[in-house]
Formats: sequence, structure tokens, C-alpha cells
Amino acid sequence: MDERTTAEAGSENPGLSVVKPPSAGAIGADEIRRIWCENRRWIAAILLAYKPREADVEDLLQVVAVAVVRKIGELRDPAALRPWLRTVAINAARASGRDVSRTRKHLRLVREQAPREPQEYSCDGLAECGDEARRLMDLARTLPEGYREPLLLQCVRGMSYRQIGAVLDLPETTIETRIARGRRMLRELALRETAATPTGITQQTGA
Amino acid sequence: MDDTKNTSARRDMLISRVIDGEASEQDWADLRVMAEADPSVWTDLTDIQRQHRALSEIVQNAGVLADGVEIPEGELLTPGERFERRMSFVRAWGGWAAAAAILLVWFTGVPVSEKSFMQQGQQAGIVQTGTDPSPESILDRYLDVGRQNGRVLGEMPRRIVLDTKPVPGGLEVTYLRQIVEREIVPRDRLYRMGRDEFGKAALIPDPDPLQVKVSY
Repeated sequence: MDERTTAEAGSENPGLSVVKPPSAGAIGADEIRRIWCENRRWIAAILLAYKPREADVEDLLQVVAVAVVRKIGELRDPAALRPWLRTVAINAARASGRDVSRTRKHLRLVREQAPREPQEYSCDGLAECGDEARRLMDLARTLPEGYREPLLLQCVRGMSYRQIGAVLDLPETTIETRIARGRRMLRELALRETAATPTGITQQTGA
Repeated sequence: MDDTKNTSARRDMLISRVIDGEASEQDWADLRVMAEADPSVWTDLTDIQRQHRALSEIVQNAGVLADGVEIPEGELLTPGERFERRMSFVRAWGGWAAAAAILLVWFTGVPVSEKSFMQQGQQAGIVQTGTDPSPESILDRYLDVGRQNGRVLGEMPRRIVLDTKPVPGGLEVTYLRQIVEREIVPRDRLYRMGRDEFGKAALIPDPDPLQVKVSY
């Protein structure tokens, strides 16, 4: 992906554009703020694709924001900005997964001492979303990465196949195919789940 | 077999293009031909469109959250600016420390010296910690009493490091200890994060919450 391609990809939607990728080693505070503002929406979608259910999107975004400031100077190829941001987001989401596992293990020990069994709830900072949306998101998280990511990025308002391709470093045609297949897979998963629960309503259980 | 696969892939692709607003006249024409032979194409289209809308709801909500997350200004400071900020923090806390000392004098009635603090506290009936006046023993006692009356469930094993700085003889570490407590909160004190009429984040009374946010 050269600089021209990046600019073209962004030009379809000013809200998502990376007007000028940073030159390594000389990135000012304003430039970093601008990069963050232009990319944080799709970064949130990447976090949704990789984070454990219990992790909070907002907390993870803050972790990513700090990592971006601290590490952007190490970015050697300015044209690779978007794939680099994606990697930072994935690392943050996976690290939170490891933290959640450790914390869960310890909380189990703590709860053994508690007189009553606490009820567990799922919350990822998106509690205001409907049950159907949350159920589908849980199912989408079970899709293979290669399908899950483009599917969720497509839901970011105004993000085109080409822009998704720029983030995932894949051709536009591959993105289109994966989104179409991902949707088919998700529908089949949803149908299978509905068939398994007669009421069509899944119980929210804590992980 | 291959033909069936290809037709199925083509059908998925056309449906996807329609949902994304990318379908050409030809795509629409092809889809109509497919639907004449198999009307379930329309059911597929509506189901997948509904799913796309539901997922978009979540992704766009996450986008709204993202809009509220800014680059932490402290991270953007130069080393000189960071030093100056730390110094102003220390100056500010210097003021609080003075205020706290005055408060202790008011409670105990006598000026506090580091050595005699615990003794004076015991005389005033503020703390009963046995013979060991160290912060660790006081905290241990709090944990023990808390466990006995059901308030304290335990302490998290990890300590979160907030800051470190080299000092003669070692490294000064500022850290956070996390203690898990349980409390019964009256319904009139329950709130949830929501948005006010201007769309800004605000606390909203919520006496009967369906979901409880857990941050672990």
C-alpha cells in the first residue's frame, strides 16, 4: 500500500481519512491527536472483534490511545499506519483477555469464601444495545478472525471495502468475499442457535 | 456440485452488495432472476439485513464511546513539561498534607509527631490495633474484621504500579491495592451512566437495574 493508495482510500469519507501518514520519528502532538481522532471509530470495531466479553471497550480504547502515543515513533513505514494501529488494538484486546482469565481465577477463590453466589452479568460498555444485537455479537465473536474483522469493520459508518482493505492489508475483492461469507456463516450460526433454544431467546450467562 | 457452490457464493455476494448499497443494475437483475427460481432469496436478504443492522448498532455505539476517548494529554508532554506538572502536583498535595495535619490536631487535641501517632490515636479512641502500629498490621486488621462481618471478600493479588522513581537505596514505587468489598446499596442510591438531553454523559437514577456493570 503506497501513500497514494492510502490517501485515495481515505478520500471517500473525510471522517475516516488519513490525510497524511506521519513521517517516522517526527510526529507532533497535534498530528497524533489528529491520527487518533480519524481512526478511533474503526479501532473500536477491532477491539470488539478481539476483546473478551467482560472487557470494557472504553477502557481498552484508553489503553490503545496511550500505546499509540508511546510507540508511534517506532513506526518505520508511514504507509503502514492503519495495519499498525490494528495490531496495537489487537494486542491490547488480547492482553485484556489474559488479565480477565487471571482475575476470574482469583475471583473464584474469593467467591468461595462469600456466603452467597453472586450473579454474573456480561457488560462490555454496550449495555444499552438490544438483546438481539448482543446475541449476534456473541455469535460473531465465534467466527474465524478472517471473517469476523471485515464483518465488524463493515458496520463502521461509511467504511468502504477499500478502506477495510487498507486496514487489513488485503485486496478489496477479498474483503467483499469475506464479508459475504461471514454474513452467511453468522446467519447459519443464528439459525442453529434458535433451533437449539425453543423460545429463540438465549440466557445471558456470565463467562 | 461446483455449480451449486458457485451459485450459492454468487447469491451471498449479491445479497451482501445490496445490503452495503454497492449493488449495480446488473446485480439487481441477477438477484431477481435468482429469486424467481427460489423465492427464499428474499428471506435471506431480509434476515441478513436485520443482522447487519443489529451488529451495526453495537459497532456504532462503540464508535460513540470512541469519540469520547481522547489521547491522554499527559502522554503528549515533553520531559520538561512532565517534570513541571509533577512539581505542581507535589505542590498541590503539599497543601493537602498541611490540611490533613491540621485535621489530626483537631481530632486528637495535640500536635502529631510521627513517633507518637499511634499512641495518641489509641488514647483518643480512634484506632485499636494492638501493639504493632505499622500500616500493614492496621490493614490486616481491617481485612480480618471486614471478612468477619461480610464486608470484605478478599484482596486482588495484583498491585497496579502508578509511578516509580529512583531514590537513594532503591526505587520508590507508588501502587494501587485492590480490595473486594460488598455492600447493600439502597435503591435510591443506584445510578447508571446514561446521556442527558444534550447527549452528554450523565448519571441517571436507576432504582431497578437489569444489568450491573462489572469492570473486571
